[in-house]
Amino acid sequence: MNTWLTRFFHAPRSPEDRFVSLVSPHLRRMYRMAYRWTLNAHEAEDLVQDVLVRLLPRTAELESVERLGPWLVRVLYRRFVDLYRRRCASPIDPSQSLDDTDQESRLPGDGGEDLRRTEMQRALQRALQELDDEWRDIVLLHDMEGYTTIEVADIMDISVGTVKSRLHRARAKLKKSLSPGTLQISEAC
Amino acid sequence: MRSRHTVNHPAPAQLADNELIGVLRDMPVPQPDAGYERRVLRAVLDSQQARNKRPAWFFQPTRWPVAAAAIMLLTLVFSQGALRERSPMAGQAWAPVGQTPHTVHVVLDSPRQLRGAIIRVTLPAGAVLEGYRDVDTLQWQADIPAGGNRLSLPLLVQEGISGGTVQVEIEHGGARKALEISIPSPPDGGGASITKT
Repeated sequence: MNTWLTRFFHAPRSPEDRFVSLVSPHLRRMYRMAYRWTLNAHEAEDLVQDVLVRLLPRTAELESVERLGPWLVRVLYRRFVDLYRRRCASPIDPSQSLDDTDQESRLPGDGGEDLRRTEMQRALQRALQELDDEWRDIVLLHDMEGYTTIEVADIMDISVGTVKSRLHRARAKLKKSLSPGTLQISEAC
Repeated sequence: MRSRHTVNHPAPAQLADNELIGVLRDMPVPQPDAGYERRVLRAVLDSQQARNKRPAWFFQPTRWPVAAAAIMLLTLVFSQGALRERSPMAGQAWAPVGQTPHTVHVVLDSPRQLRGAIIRVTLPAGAVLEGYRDVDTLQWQADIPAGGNRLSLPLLVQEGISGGTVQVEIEHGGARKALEISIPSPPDGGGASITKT
């Protein structure tokens, strides 16, 4: 019997089952990245869902991908750029900060070291919003989510050298935002 | 009440890369709730099912008449030994359904999505497709999703005619695959026949 028929009729699982098996291990990572980009839980989930809807008819293609995790994040990133960045001047809602929404419950208490770290994170969050989109994306992927420079280059479709140089400059800018005289501390009256 | 003011903070002055990365990695991302995976996957699969209800999913041109029947006859494709056909890419089955058309099922398993594929069906003398009685070659363009896909052809064979072949061709990106399906004699006491006018 020919290969096509063998593959079709002997396949014990539907494309939908295969799709679910393929993407399930990566759903939380996709959500994390989507949240990093959108800064909104609902939009993060919507973004992941939108990408998966588009990928479902491409199950066979997904099966041929060697490292599916970074591949999915690349698709997610491109969809984010299409849906959000090209639609808005900035994907970041400047009114949204660590002071509110989903992140409030995650913040540590008012203890000394916790407070200092929290304030640093707030300062960093503000500084991240002020970075160029491409610089911020590299920081999010590399420094915050741990992708390698090669993976970041692949996800963003740029050269490894560009990743490294932008990462270097972005870090310098972030550090500057935390330098003396710029870090704001909240203190009780 | 809190006030916000600027102070000199000793630690960040000479923040090293690894310290910066440490703070960045600790920046919180709320975990989705426990039902997240199930909810998202359900929504994705439901959207696919909704899309599949559209006739175009089975390569069907406008007004193609057999969507529901084609789905029900999937078991026949398996059970009637159609896989022994010499087809390079498809199985076929005949539905002994009295005065209704023979439905020929062509099954195509594509490893990837084929956007804008051209599907062409050429009928032998004495055979027509229900709804297209004056046409012996039908051609249309459609996206063929990755995976298993089925094209259902409601075939009407002129009385007294047996034999002949239905040719199905699919073209995409300059490549072409063709399949010839032999029309068997109608089963005893069954099968459809038409009189061409």
